[in-house]
Amino acid sequence: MIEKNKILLALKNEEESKVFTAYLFSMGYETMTAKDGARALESAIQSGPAIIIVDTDLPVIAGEKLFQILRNNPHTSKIPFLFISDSIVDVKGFRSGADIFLIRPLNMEELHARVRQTLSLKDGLGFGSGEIEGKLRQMSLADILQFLHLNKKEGVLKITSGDLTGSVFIKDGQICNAVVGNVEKDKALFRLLQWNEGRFEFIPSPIAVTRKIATSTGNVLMEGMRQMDEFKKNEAQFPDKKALLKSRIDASAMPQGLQPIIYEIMELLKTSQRVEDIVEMSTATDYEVYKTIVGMIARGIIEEQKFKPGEGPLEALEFLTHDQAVSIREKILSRFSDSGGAASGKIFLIASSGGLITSFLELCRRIPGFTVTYKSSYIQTSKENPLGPVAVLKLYGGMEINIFAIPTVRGTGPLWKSFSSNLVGMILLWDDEGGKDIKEMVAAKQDILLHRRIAVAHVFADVPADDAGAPRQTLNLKYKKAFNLKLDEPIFRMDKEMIFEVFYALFSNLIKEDYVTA
Amino acid sequence: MITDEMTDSKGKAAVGRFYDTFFVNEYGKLESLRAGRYHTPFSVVLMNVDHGSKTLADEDVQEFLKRLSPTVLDAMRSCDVVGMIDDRQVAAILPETDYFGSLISMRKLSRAINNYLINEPPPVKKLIFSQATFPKDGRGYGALLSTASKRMSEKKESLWEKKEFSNKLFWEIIGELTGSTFKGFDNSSFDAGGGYSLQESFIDQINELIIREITAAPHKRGIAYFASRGQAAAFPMMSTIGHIGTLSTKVFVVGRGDDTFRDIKNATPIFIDDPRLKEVFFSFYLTEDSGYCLVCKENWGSTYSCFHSSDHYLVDGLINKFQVEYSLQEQL
Repeated sequence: MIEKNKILLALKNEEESKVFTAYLFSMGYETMTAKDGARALESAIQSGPAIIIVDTDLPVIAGEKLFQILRNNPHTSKIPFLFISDSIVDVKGFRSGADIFLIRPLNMEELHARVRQTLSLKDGLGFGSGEIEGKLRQMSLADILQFLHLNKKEGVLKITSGDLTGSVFIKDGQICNAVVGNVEKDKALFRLLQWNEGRFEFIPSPIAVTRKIATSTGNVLMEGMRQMDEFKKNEAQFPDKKALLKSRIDASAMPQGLQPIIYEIMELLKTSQRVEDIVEMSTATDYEVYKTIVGMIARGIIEEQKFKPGEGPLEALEFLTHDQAVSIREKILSRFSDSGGAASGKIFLIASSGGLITSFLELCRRIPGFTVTYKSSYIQTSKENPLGPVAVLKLYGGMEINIFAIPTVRGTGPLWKSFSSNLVGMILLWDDEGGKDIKEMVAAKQDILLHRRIAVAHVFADVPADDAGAPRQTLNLKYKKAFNLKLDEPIFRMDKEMIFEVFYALFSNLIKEDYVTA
Repeated sequence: MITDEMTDSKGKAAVGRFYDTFFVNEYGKLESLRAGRYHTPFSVVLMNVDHGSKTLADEDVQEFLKRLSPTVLDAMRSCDVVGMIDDRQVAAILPETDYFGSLISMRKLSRAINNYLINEPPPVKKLIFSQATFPKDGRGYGALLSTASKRMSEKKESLWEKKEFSNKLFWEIIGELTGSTFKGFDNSSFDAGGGYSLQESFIDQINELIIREITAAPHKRGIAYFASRGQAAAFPMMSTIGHIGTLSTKVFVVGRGDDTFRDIKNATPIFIDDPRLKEVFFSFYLTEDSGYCLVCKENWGSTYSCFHSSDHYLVDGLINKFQVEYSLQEQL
């Protein structure tokens, strides 16, 4: 029988052993000590500790030998080892991921963290399995959570439905947090409560996450069910999730003392106008966001944008053929197969201002599979100086192309180099105002191309209609010269027609067929 | 016990000496074939004798390497093959060793050689190391050697070597990085907060970006250190590290006792009570593909003087200095 919190300490130095024992005791662990390998072997077989901390240079039986003996014993083979040594020793049979090797001098905090990590891993993955598991069709999530609450269980409840996975962290029967995708807390829990199909599995393990759902389990479940019912009842009144919203008043002119969610929605509207994006990015639950949007529309604070037939940004348009999408996927997978990354590529979006990025992304929404994400906790800053993933283009077979924005302010060069893994292309975006500092963008382009051979699309935000025509050609020539482009290399206009051309240009090399000579 | 007969039969000049060029080249070719067949990694570490502005004659370099060879061999594992590849360069073939393993070997070598050089008569000599790993940096032994040579020249150009940071203390280096202005694509300085074009939260955005990189490829090996002010408040993304499965990147959070960080799965807290950490915070992130470091110093009026770099060697060096000077586990 392996005891959960018992640690066997087999160290050659008695002083060190005493210090470790005292420290681990203060952290809530029970320890047994052994002066040599023989005694350690005896204790390990008799008591079955949860982890063995062993010196590689133990007298009588060396640490490595002890490890091999215990690994061959079916009763003790699953006990993880934490080796401590003065120098690197190659331990035969060392199980990477289960065993740990530390070199003196030791930091106690780190030792504790490693012990805790190993124990949680052991409980969670390697040796234990789900205590309770089944299908959501047979038992709803609310029922499972109530059952766990009544029995004061501690662990993680994992729920899978299709490609989606969610987790609910439970301590003493109380729900501490819930996570699904990028969403957490009540919002995630309420989404999970709606899942009717899929599987659940409860893994008992010590939970060390911060409690983020403060309400008691009973109350939070009641509230979740209420919101679910209300959502179904009022769904017809809610705006379409693909609809675009527009603010009718200036956010700074809003009176004080309104509900925080109203300010949050106004803030989010600066970055994204689509209802589904606002619902996704808001910290409030889905029902609350929809309800507030309806209320704000009714009070004239925001309005739904109307489009004439054929003008709307939402009509489905043909982008890539199936064969082209397959070709892009295959090429990206083969190019980055040894990088260990997921099936994804990256396109840098370098613009002369944050506002241009927002406008560009808005135009890109017409592309099938394109979603604006702005994955950032710093919405306001990310709008002015976007940094990181701002949108994703989903292609065939789960292939994702992440659109990755990097500000062009001076001194951000190291970011381009460090975060350019899986890079397949680059979009340079500027307007007349940004054109004054075009040198910086040119330098950025040259530097990136020096490190990666990728396709580049140059996009110039259109000049006003009055100035169109001859001035545009002059500007084109000026910028072609600045970017050292050939005369037949295009500079794309930033409008809804050209947006597809931008992406075709980026993917041209990936779409192109490989010619094999006989 | 190594005997003279054994070393002779293996192409070694003498006991405790390096192998000759022919043997190392042949062994390297065999090792690359073996690694290709069994899909295992192996690394090549290159050592170059650098003597600053003074020119050393080939004979002097060879004499020096002869004296140095027992120290080098002692620092290597018994399975590693070390030999001369030309009159001034030594290559070590490290079987079954990945990128991080080769970095550890380079650290061990560097430490052993530095200890040896204390008693070495003038002129001052210095060894520079570089590495390449199969299959990422090349599939043949020749390709690996050429990558390692290319990296050797890159390393000589890196800030770590140019500013001779290896001879300085961690906080001296940090002071120098935040106190000077760097302009360039590899190393750059910027100011944030106050009235600057970049807001204070831009620093947190960068940290968030690092965490996104880590969580986007959980199987990719790496190491990251975050020493951030007001951690939990400024760092909401950190909690996501705890919500994903097992991470291959080792994440360490440096700070003073903060219970919210103690409890994050996949992140190891390191509690250091150093007043310097109140005004300076840093992030180091190193993988086989990229390295990034950000060091920020808080000034009066909530403005920050920041330095960031994509220089692999600088990031590796800073991580090493930090680990050694705070008696942390030396690991990658």
